[in-house]
Parts: sequence; C-alpha cells; structure tokens
Amino acid sequence: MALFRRKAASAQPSDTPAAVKELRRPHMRRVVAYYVRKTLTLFSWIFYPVGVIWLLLLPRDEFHHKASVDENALLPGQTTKYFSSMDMYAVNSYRLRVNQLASQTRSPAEYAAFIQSELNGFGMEASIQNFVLATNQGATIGANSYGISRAARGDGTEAIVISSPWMDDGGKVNADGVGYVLAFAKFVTKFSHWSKDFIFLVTHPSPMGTRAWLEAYHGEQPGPNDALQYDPLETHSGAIQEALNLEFGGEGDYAAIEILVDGLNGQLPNADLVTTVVNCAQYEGIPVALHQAVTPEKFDSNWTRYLHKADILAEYMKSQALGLPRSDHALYAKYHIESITLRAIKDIPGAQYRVSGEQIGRAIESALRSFNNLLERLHHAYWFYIMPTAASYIPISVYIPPVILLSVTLVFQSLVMWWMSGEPGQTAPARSQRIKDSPYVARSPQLSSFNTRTRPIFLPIVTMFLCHATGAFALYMSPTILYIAQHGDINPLNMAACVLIVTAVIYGFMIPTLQRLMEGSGASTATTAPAWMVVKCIACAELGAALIALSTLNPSLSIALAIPSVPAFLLAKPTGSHNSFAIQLIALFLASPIGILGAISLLTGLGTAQDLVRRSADGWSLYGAWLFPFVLLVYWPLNLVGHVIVGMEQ
Amino acid sequence: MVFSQGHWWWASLLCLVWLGQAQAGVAITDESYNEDLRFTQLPDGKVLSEFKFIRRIGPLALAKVRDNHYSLLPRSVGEIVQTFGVEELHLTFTQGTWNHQKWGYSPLGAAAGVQLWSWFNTSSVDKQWKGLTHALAGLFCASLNQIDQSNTAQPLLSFLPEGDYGEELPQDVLELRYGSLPHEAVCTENLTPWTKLLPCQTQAGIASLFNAYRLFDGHYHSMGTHIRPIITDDAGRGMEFVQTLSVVLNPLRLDNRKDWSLSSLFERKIASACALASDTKVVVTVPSHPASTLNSPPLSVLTDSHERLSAHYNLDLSTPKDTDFGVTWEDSKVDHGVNRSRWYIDAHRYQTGYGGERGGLAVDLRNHHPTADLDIIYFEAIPWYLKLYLHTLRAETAADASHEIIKDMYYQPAIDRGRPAVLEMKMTLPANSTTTLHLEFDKAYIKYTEHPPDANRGFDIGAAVITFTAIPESPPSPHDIPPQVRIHTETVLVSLPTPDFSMPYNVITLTCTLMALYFGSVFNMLTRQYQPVIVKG
Repeated sequence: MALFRRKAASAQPSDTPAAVKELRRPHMRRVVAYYVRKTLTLFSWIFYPVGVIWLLLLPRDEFHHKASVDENALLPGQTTKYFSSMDMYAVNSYRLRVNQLASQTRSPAEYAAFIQSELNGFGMEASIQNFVLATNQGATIGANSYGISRAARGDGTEAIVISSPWMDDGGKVNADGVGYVLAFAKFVTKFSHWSKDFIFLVTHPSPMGTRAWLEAYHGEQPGPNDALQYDPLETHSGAIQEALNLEFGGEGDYAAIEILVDGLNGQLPNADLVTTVVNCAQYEGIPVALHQAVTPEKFDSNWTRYLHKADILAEYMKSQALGLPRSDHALYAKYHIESITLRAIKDIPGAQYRVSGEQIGRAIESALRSFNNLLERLHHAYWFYIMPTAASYIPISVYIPPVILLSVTLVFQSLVMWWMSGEPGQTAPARSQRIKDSPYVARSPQLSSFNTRTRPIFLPIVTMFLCHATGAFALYMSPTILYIAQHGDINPLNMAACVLIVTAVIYGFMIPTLQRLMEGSGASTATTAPAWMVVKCIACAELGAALIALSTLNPSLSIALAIPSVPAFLLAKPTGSHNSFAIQLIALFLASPIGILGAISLLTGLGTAQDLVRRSADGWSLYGAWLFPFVLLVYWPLNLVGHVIVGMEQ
Repeated sequence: MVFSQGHWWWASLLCLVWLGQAQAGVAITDESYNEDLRFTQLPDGKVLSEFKFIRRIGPLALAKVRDNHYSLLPRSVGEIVQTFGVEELHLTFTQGTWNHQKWGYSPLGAAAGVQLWSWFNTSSVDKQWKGLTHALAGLFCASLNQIDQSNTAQPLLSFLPEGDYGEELPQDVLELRYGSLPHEAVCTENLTPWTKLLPCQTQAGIASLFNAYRLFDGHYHSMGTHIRPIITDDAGRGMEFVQTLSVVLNPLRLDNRKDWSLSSLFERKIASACALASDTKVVVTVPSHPASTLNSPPLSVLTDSHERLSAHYNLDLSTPKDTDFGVTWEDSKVDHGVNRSRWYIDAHRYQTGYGGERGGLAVDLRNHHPTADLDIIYFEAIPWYLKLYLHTLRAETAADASHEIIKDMYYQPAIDRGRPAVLEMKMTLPANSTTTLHLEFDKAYIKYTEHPPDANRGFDIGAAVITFTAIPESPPSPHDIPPQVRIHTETVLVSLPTPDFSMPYNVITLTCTLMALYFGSVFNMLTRQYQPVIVKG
C-alpha cells in the first residue's frame, strides 16, 4: 500500500489580500490566451511548408501500400479461363467489320443498328436508344445500342456493364474495343456459371451517350428545355454493380493496358475493383500502365524511382483535380456503380514484347469472373486513395494530413485576425499589484474589459457579398462569353486582358466606392478595429472551410488550389510599403484563376489553357463537373476579396 | 352439394367401367394417378420440359385420409392440409426468370424465388397461415417460415380460387393469404424432399429423368406443388394434388446443336413407366418449320393453328426401356425474334432513381394487340421498408389521353414491421401501346439488426403479378393455355442505407477498453486505504 504524504497544514498567515488572489485566475487565463495567440500569429504559417514537404515526400515508397484485395469473394485470377483463339478470331473479324462499316457511313444510327443486329443474333434482348444534344455548335445526333444477356440461373437483379465507345479518345474508330464487346457478348452465352446479367453497351458519341443511357436506365426523363434529349430504354436489367469500359483503338498490337480510374469530380471506384482488374491483367502477363507509364520492376537509383513516381502522382492529381470525364467510366460513379476504363497503349518505352489479344481477352474474362463471384456490392476496400503506380496506392490516412495542413493555416489565420481585431494586446498581461500601504489592488490594463475594440461587421459582409455576386454573375454569363469567344474568334490574350481589367475595376474601384458609400472607409480608430481584419477573417475562414471540405471529396483539387492561395492570403494586408504591396499583388494574381491559367500557358502553351477553360465549362454544362462553378462561386470571389483587402485602409 | 340423378347414374357407370379395367396392383378406390410430360422446343432452340404428376383423390379416399389412412396421397401433405384447414394451396420454387416475351405464357411460369398462396376454410387464418408456412418449411427444406405477417398479403382480385367448388361462392367463406420470398435460392435440397412425395419417386416414370445437375443448369427451373378441391362424383368433394416441374434447357449451349434427345438433355432415359400411374403421356411439340425428324415413332401427330407439330406418346409397362424421345433438325438455324401474334401483353418492371434516400419503381405494361384494349389486374406487395407515396402513382401512356387506364384500385398502406403495402389495380391497356406506371418511395432507415448477413447486397422486392384473361383462340384446343393467365415481372434489388458493420465492432472494442481502464482505476481508488504519514522531526 502506497503511503500518502501530506504537508502539515501551514500555520503561516498569507499577507496576499483577497483581491489579488481573486485576480490571479483571470490573469492566468489572459496570459495563456496571449501566448497561444502570439504563437499562432507568429508560427501558424509553419503548417503550410510542413504540408508542402509532406506532399513532396509522398512519391517515396515508404508511403505506398501494396494493393491487395480486401473482398474475399473476388479471388482475382483464380478461375479457369476459357477465352480461346476461337474467341480471338471473333474479335478480329468484328474489328474488320467495324472498320469496314465506319469507312462506309458516318451515321450513328447505322452503327447502332449493326450492333443491335449482332447482339440480337446471340439471343439477347437488344435495342437502340437515340439521343440529341443541342449545343452552341448545333445539334449532335447520337445512338447507343445495348443488349442484355440474362444470366441463365440468376434472377436478373444484378448486372455488369461491358461498354465501349464507338470512337476512342483520339477520334479514331474504337474497332478493337467494339470487337471485344461483341466477342464477349457471344462468349458469355456459352456458359451457365454467370450469376449476374451482362449488359453490352456501345455508345456514340461518347461520353455524352453514356450519360444519356445511364440517366434513362435509372428512369430519368429529360426536361423539355434540356440540352440533352433522349429516349427511354426498352429493356432494363437489375441494379448495375460494376462497369468495364474498353477502349482499344488499334489493330490488336499493344504494348500495355492503361487503367483509367478517376471519374467525374475526381470520384474514385472502390479500390478492390482497380486491384482486381490490375491483378487479373498481371496474372496474364500484361503490363498495366497508369497515366501512360508502366512502372518498371527496378530503377537505376532511388532518385529516378522518386522522379518516376512523382511524375505519375502529378499526372494523377492533375487529372483528379480537373474532375472532367476522361472516358465513359467517369459517369458511372454518380449512380454508385464501380467502373473503370481499360485503354490499350501501343508503345511504351522499354516494352519487351507485345501483348496478344488472347491475353487481353483472358484478363477481361478473369475480371468478369471475379465480379460475378461477388455476393454483395464492393464495400470492403477504400474509395479514397491516390495511386503512384498501378499496383500500389496511398491510403487516405497517409495523404489527408498534408492536404489538411495546407488549408488549416487559413483557419488559424482567420482566428488570429479575429483576436487581433478585437484585442490588440501587444505585450503579455502584467500581474495585478497591490497599491502600497492600502488595502486596494491596481488592476493591470490588459485585464480590463474596456480595452476591446468594436469589430465592424457590415462593411465586411457587403464586401463578401459583392465579390460573391460578381462570381455568380460571371457563372451566369459564362455560356454567353464562351459563345462570343468561340464564334467571334477572339484572341485568348485579349480575352484574358479584358477579364483582368474588368476584375481590376471591380475590386479596385467599384467595391471600395460602394464600401465608402455604405460604411465609410473602414479605417481603425481607438474604439473600432480596422475593417480589413474582419474581412480577412471571414475570407480566410470561408476559403479554409471550403478547401478542407474539398479535401475529402477531391483532395487533388484542394491541394492544387491551396498551394497558390494560402501564401497569397497570409500576405494580404494593407501596407504602406510599395515593395510589399507589389509582392502581395503578384501573389494574389498568381493565385487567381487568370494567373493560374497564365502559368499553365507559360509552361505548356496557350492552347492548353484555352482548352482547359473550354473543357471545364463544357464539363459543367454537359456533365455537371463542379470545377467551373466551384472556381467561379467560391475560389475566384475570395481571390477578389484578397485584392480588396490589399487596397483597404489600415 | 346438389347433383341431379342423371349425373349419379353416369358416374356410377363410368366407375364400373373403370373398375373393370383396373389393373392388378392398383387399389380399387376412387384415387387415380397420371403422369404427363411435355417437351416444347421454342423458336430460339431452347427446350421447355413440363413434368406433371397428377393425383386425384376422390371423396371416399379423402374420408379415409381423415381417419389417417393414406394410399396415394402422401401422409405429410395430407396432414398439413388437414391440420391447417387448407382448401387450396399453391407453392412454387423457381430459379431464373420466365421470359414471357420469347417463350409465351405458361401456366407453370412463376415468380423467381418462392411463391406461396393458399385459401383457408378456417377461422383463425393468421395462426393457421403461420403454422402452414412453418410446416412447409420443414417439408421442403426451405426458409418458408420467413414468410411472416410483414410480408403476407391478401389480394382481392389476382389469386381467385382455382378449384372446383360447385355452386357455393368460395370467396365468401374462404380466406386467402399470399407470401413470397424472392431471394430464396432453389437447389437440390428442395428437389429431393419434393421428389420423395412422388409415388414412384425418381425410380420409375417420367421422374426418372430428374438429373439434378441438368435440372439446375437450365435457364428456368420451377417446381410447383398444387392442391385444389375437385368434384369427381356426387359423393362429395375430392382433392387434386398436382406436382409440376418445368425446366428450360438449351441444347445449343449443352451440345452446340439444335437437335436434342432425352439423353442429351438430361443424360438419362425414362427407365420405365411408373406402375402406379394409370396413364403416362408424353407430348413433343416443335415448330413445323423447318423440317424435323422425331427420334421415335409417335402414336399420333397433330398440327395446331400455330404451325406446331405435336407428337403424342403413351408410356406403359410394356414400353421398351431405353426409349429416347427427341428431335433432329434438318436446318440448325434458330430464331431469336419475338412473336407478338399470340402473346399480346408483356410487363417489365425496373427500379428508378439512385442514391440511398429515395427511389422508385416503374412498370412498362405493353399491349401489342393491334386493335383491342385489354383488361388486366396488377398486383404488387411492397415491403414496409419502402415507404410508398401513393400520390406519386401515375400511369403514362403514349396512346390517346382520353383513355382511362386505371379503372379501379385497392390500396392497403403498410405498417412498419407489420404488413406490406398492397396495391391492386384493375387496368385497361389501350391497344398497341405501352403504359408506364411510376411509383416513388422513401427508403427506410432500418435497425441494424434487421439487415441480413449480406447487408450490402440489398433487399429483393418480389415480382408484381399481372392477371388477365387470354384472348380465346379459335378453335380452342384442349391443351391450350387456360383462360386466366398470370405473368410475373422481374424481381428488383433495392439497396437501403447500410451502416458500416465494422463500426459496431470498433465501438464495442473501444468502449470495453475505456470501461476496463475506468473501472480499474475507480475500483483501485475505492478499495485503497489512505493513511496520512506523519513525518516526524
């Protein structure tokens, strides 16, 4: 038993008066708050470089997990494969017929009719869905054809989609992909071991066709004013569980298969689906590429290993950050369907041998057998990961800290601004002292409740509102502006200059004028805090919250926006020095959408930047990609707010 | 039951004639047993085999049954019927979906999974129904006991009594219960007890073809048990006990040929006729084009109005043992087209919407008849965890809007964990049109213990049933489809919001750790003795 020491009660009477004792507690509280505030004010920026360094470490192998299958039912590559040279013969003959048909006609209806008659010939319920897309460029007529192979012994409640676009990414006829779809349609009818229905789908043009088909499959009907009008489907199968999209735009001579995983808005399929497809392909000896790069087994040095993985990671994050559909698989995620695109690559550096068509066929068959085994939806593995190679991944637990660290700086900055605007304590609170030869105690001035300043709220709210209204108006006008830019053949540099001048007028003249008309200058007085601090407080809070919320939905976009905007926001404040004013403006400009586009065009050419704007605007209007509205409604208005802060009174 | 004197007389005469012909070994009672086997090759090359085992139990034998004296009727079935006051019983075990667009209507077409409906002539029906489902679960090794009150419905129009009740109106005195298990897997485990009810089991008769490997390798497999009252003579009401098995096999997949024979389909031949069967019929029906050859010479060949040949055979004990029925074709082409000239109505149900919060059902009801509007009855029982909104029910049709499609409707709202929502509608489908029914629901957030072990699969919503009167054909042939036709839609899989089931485990481990730490330290504090140590000096 432990012994307990207790000091004998002290008989010494204290000469501290009760008032001093009473003031100790608030004093301590103030002191702690003061030092916390001081530390945060001085050092909150440290999170940003830590986050950046952590991100730079991500390509290192220590952070990568080897991809393994979590769902026991999948058993990738464990089945006997039956895809034989006879089936490969079917692929080849269909490829020839598809090429022949494509050279004869350009009508989507005829393509669809061909697919439908072939699928009907296998005893499937095949039909055609027509759709029309009205855009500024005119109406595009398209047709999807699909057939449902009912699983002999299944009850038709679950289905797997095998799809292929008629045209591949580069605008070439996807003859081999369609050939595989048709050959598999024939192949699956030979076996009774399937427990899920198969839906064979050929879309044209794509990915718009996939959107029309998926919406119709889920019972949606286009509104009378919608740009995309489509027919309802004649037949349905059950709930689609997985989708495999094939893009083989060649003649059967490939060096590797590339997997495309990220979908619309950077949504990812379950990691088990990716791992299964990759494992099945690797069991067949097919090199699997990610972003057109096959990771070799060995590297010359650690540095080349790092560079290789960093390169793939950068490509991966770029693609995820944009969140635009890269192929048909991208649109399935919205419906909780796990999907992936397999795209054949003709040449990769260092490829030792060619992949045979049968290998590809057996890999696909093997993956289908694995999906067929599933008794439930894929739910064991992650939906959040970043892939440095096709066979490994960085789980959310490893990549989320740097993403959060980057943006959390803004949250602290917001807190600092709130404190600074209210209680501008420059020194640590002094202890209350007894006034000599009197029973009274002098309270130190830092403990007084009378020295807090009033924070102006109306002016910051007006500023925030005006900037966001500008963004919303830009979003509203964007189709018109893009139409004018395309049809008026306006030089993109003129366009960018125009946007710059308009925004400069807005933040440099109109908003300050309105501010002064409504609220006065916002300069600080003895009793009121300067308005810019509260503006910055609200803006930092909003941007930080937006970026942190984004970090789970689309971490790559969060990173891509946090890296330029966080330093710009940390720096932004009214200043008398010309140098720091210039530095602040440059940082804010680089973080603005125009600045980012400018950087992209300096690095990769003007065409890329132009293309990016067009694709993201189309991605929003055609597929509902968030990038465009997010930038115009949240990111760009806050950047305007940053510019306003720089120009405000101290 | 009232019968005229004339009936009596004729019946006794027939009875005498039949008694005179009765073979040795068959008990002289008013019971009879027939076997009936039909093979129909469909235009797409698939072969539909329909096995029927018909037992007719006359009033005399039924009276003996009441005294626990059984002959042809299996005792297990007879006891169930008596104990639970069952007047009529229809139980089907089905795997796969009957493709009524390509294969037409079949009286043996049933909804996927298990479907059970029964008419009772007893007072405490709910109790008897529970007993019946439990007894049948034991008899057929199936999870029928899971048909509880929460998925039992009482349709008003769709499942009328099929028995022969004389002149009384059975609906006034009898009560109906309907239940289904759409996700019940059917396998040999169910087939074995079912074949044990047959008089010759699988040793003789047409049941000797039952090769489970092949039966369950087909595109459709349905096993039925039907009991209904019949009137055989004036002595009272008898009972008919019919076991049916229909299976669709594809010779193209098995042998890559359109030709088939018993040995190619089943890897078996009929060993011999069942000695207890008074009559064993085999009918082979094939399209009359292109030309085909029957493998064994039939008794007679009939051509019906749909360009089909039917070859009739009779099996008895003198039939040679390795008789192998089958067809050899001159042209191996198959036709995958859909024939709309006989089967005018088809139905197709699918799920609409996405996401975990709400969803919907849509049913395409098509009437392919060029001129006639056709009446149907639509029945659907939707489990309580899909909260139906009746105001979202709408019927859309491309046909003239002046048509009133829904004529009459019976709707019973669901009670949580108590009963399903039942929707029954009398509808008129305009000629040559598609009518689409839309219905929306919220997905309930159910308790985590109510999820099945495969929680992430989802919940199966049983087939909707469409009942209608087939347009009579001219001339009506005796073997044609019966006037009342039932078709079943697809089963739909709905996923409800599913919790991450690893979470309770995590919570339990975490809580236990905290409890252990907390309890340990508090226990320590409470039981330890504190004593002041006086430091001297």
